[in-house]
Amino acid sequence: MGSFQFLKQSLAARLSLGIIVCMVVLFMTALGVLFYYSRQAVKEEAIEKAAQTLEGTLLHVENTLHEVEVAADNMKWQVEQHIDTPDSMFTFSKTILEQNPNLNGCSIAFDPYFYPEKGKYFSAYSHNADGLIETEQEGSDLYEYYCMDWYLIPYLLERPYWVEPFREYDTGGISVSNIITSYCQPLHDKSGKTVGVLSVDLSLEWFSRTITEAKPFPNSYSILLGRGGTFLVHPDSTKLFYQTIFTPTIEVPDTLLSSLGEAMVNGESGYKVLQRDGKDIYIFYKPFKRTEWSVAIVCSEEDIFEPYNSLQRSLMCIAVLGLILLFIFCILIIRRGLRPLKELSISAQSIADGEYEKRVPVSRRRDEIGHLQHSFSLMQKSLSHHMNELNSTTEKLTQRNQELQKAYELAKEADRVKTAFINNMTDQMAHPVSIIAAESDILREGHTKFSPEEMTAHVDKMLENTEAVTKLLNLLLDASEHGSPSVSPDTTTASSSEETSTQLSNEETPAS
Amino acid sequence: MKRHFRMIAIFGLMLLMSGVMRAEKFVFTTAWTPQAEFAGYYVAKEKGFYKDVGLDVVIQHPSLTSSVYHRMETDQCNAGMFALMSAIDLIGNQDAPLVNILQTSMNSSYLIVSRWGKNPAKQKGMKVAVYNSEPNYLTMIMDKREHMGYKWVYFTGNVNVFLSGAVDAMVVVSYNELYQLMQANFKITEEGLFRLRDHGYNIQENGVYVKRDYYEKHPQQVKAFAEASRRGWEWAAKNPEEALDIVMKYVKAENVPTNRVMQRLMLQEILRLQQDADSGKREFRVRPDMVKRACQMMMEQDMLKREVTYEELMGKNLK
Repeated sequence: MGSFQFLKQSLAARLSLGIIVCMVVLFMTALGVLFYYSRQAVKEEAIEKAAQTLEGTLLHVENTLHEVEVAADNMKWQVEQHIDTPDSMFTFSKTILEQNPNLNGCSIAFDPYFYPEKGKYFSAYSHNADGLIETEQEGSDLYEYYCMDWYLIPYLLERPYWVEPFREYDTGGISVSNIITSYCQPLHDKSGKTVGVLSVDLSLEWFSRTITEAKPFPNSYSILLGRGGTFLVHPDSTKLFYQTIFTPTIEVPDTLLSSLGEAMVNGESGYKVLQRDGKDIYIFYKPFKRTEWSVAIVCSEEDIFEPYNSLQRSLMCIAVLGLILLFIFCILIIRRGLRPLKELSISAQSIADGEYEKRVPVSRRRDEIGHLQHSFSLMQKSLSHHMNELNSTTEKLTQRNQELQKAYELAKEADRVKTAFINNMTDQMAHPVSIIAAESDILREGHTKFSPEEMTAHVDKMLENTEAVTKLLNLLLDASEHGSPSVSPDTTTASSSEETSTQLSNEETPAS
Repeated sequence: MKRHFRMIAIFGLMLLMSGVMRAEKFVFTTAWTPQAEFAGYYVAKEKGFYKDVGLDVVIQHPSLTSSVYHRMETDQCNAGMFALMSAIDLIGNQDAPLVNILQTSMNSSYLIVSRWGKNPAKQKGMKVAVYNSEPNYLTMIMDKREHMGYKWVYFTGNVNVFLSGAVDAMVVVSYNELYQLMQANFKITEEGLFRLRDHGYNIQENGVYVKRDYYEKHPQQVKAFAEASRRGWEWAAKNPEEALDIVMKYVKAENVPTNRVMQRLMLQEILRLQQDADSGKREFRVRPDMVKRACQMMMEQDMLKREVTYEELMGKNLK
């Protein structure tokens, strides 16, 4: 509420906020585009890195497997050449181990009773125990080697075969604790019939070590799947040989995991993204062509996008800091820019309060605000001047008003005097007129009776009063003609009326 | 006070001693390495059902060097687990003095799975992989009766021989290898699956057997073991997840290469197989008709010298 009020009251804050909002939109758009392409680039780089690591591991392993195959192929030829001498098989199985220190063991095994003199079982087996090579004939009722995968599968398929890693049963004799995988190929007699199997063993520990070393990212790890999706190498040892990549999907279908498993088991290369614990994990996989196994590097999203995330963090920090600074600068600059307006506002308030003379600050600025300030100053001066003139005129008008008031009062008095004068005159005329009227009546009724003297006396009386009335009328005419203030109605009229009155009284007296 | 305390201590010790003395040792060998196939027995032991009936049961598992019958023959165990046809074979052909004391399986679990998705009953002469460790009487009888001419490939190991394509089909049990194939993402089709029980070859499998002399001398122990084991199975059926916890304990102790998912599926299937096809109930009994049919089929194919009767199998004709 407070900040809203602040925004409502501060143009600088509103302008700054507007600018920041625009900048944020601009920044977000620009950063969004930048992040999108950066992410793509980082992802491609990570894929390339993982692929190269996988390729390197595969090359290393395939080279070793190739060496094993070449050694076994060479030995197979020798074995088949000497198939009639069973005892030489012990020498061959020992020799191949001596010549190939990577190999863990070698069996040259034959069908039951192939060498009748050797009995049912004949398998020349040598084992390399840390450089010490032991040789024995293996096979017994408890260890029927011809029922084992390493014998059966190449025998039945009639071709060399890398068997799935297995742990040898402890059936007495040489004890092998390692989990091993074997390259096995069928042996033929001189007629071309399959009669046995040559098998060379490689410790899975070697595979595991080599594959585990493939670590393109700090938290990445490698897994190795067998043909049926069995985990042959996995950081979680509880999964090794105990479950396959498909195991979790039997009860809870997981399309992505199944599709990854199928791709790997089918010998495809590529990568897939899976979700685990709400996070994406990237799995890059590639097959071993020789063994039909598939190796994969599992990387967390954080690992893959670490450079991107780092860039994102830095850019976001810079952007946020920049926007904050920009906001502060905007406020400062706009406040500074608007300061004259504030001063003008104060000046305007002063003018509103009647302080027209208060000086408006002068600015050297030549921008719009400078112009506004200048114009305001001019306006203030002009207003002040006009106000002064107005005051002067008002004073004059007031004075004239007073004079007019006085004149009016005088006129009013004159009118009253005039009325009094006319009333007086009228009163004064009443008497002579009544005398004239009375004389007229007398004359009308008694003119026959009166003597000429009496007649003359009466006429004279009438004339005398007529003259008095005439005088009064003349005075009235004169008063109406000269009803100006120059002739004081009081004095003139009074004196005249008094005079008239006096005259009339004097004249009346003789008349009456 | 001190004297009373001593008396109480001696009495308590005597009680304890009598309890230990009373629990008679009873060694039982399962048919295979630890797995949910034997969940009821593990449960009975872990939940104290055997102790409740006065037995101190030791559960053993066979090895390549020591089969179940070898252990019984050499008195290394008192009871062992056999499939019905194996027991008939041992009794009828080798005069093994075996007596059934508990039957858990009511149905055959055997299936033939085609590697190529084709109907196994129509693929004459194909190579069929069978476990070397146990004779597959039913499939061999079916082969002969239906004139299939299968070429048997005996193997020791897991499903790799099948998956590699070295054989055309494999004989599996519905509670184990079938799930292993699913676990290896092998697409099983109905067309490529032949359930022996659906084609007139339904014979009971797992049961517990003791030697006849032991049966005669220790009838109470035998009865107690059977009752407690049955209680264990019923508890496992009602509490499958807890039973699975117990199974996994045994699995881990023996380092068996399996996992909980596989064991859960196995337990579910084993419990299904314990339900009689006709009644739909868990009956824990040997069906005389199945004994007769098994003997007939085996004798028909010269797999059995003489008929083994239901009574003989159950020790009912003992003198």
